[in-house]
Amino acid sequence: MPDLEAQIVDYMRPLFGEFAATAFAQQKAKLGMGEHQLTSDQYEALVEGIRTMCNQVAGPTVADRVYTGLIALVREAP
Amino acid sequence: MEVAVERLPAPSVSRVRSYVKNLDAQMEGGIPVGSIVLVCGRPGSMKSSLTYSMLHNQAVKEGRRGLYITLEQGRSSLTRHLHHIGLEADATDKVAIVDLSALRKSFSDDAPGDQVNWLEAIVAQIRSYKALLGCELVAMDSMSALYSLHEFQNPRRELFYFFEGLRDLQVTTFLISEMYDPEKDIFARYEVEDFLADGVVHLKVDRSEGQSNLYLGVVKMRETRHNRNYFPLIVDHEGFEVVTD
Repeated sequence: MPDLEAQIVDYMRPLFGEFAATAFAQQKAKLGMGEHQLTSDQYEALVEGIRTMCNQVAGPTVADRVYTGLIALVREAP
Repeated sequence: MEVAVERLPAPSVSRVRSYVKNLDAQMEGGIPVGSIVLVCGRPGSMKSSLTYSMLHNQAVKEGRRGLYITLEQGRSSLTRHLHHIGLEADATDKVAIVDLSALRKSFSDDAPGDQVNWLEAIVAQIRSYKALLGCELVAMDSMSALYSLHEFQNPRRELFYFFEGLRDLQVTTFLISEMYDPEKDIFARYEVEDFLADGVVHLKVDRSEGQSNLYLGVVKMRETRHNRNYFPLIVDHEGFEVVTD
């Protein structure tokens, strides 16, 4: 789902700015996810990891908001 | 025929209160909405604390959302420091502290690095934050940290466009600026920032006879008749106060 990954990075961009793509790639690597096609469960785990990163950068309110948007993207993905 | 000339009242300016006790009365009630204000001083002059307190009080007392971008001091270090002066960052969810220093550290090896125009990137990011968080007030801590990221070719020109970019965002912006020269009142590194800004608030530390006293002066505030005196600045658990008597 490369389109979904591009959408996730776009959604992260307001908070992570220039670092969005790097943050996404780093989070994938941290969770041991390679270049292969991820399952829905793996995408949800990835979004949880991104939430933790957002919490460190901007606190829980913003992290929850980003998480809500990302989890909706993942669950609505075809 | 004699024509009566009506003296029209000056258009009223919406203002942001500083919530520094006694200060707003010295500048027609506060800072004009949409201004870009330099908050400058030497290290230890409480620039960050004062600026955060303005955002915090605006959020708690007036419901205005704020965004505090830290480029140097970590989020947890900043919130601990604020706790010491009686400001609980967790008391409101209307001020988002965004720790770009954490991002810089996390991705230092993979960072986009030198190819990024940081002045443009910060403006773009504030625009995104405004859309994401709906903030009316923005603080950036600090200009020195931003300058350490950005490689200038033509500071005057680039800073002009940076300030114009901030102005277009239509938020009230506080730019925290470190002053380094102990002898001169140079408010920011390139000496053009105070011309480009709408306001300059100067925090002065007077160290003499074994004592260290803080003073606050409003050096410049466009659209505002303001007192140019430097007032003693006090901070306690009730907040900031200038002594005007």
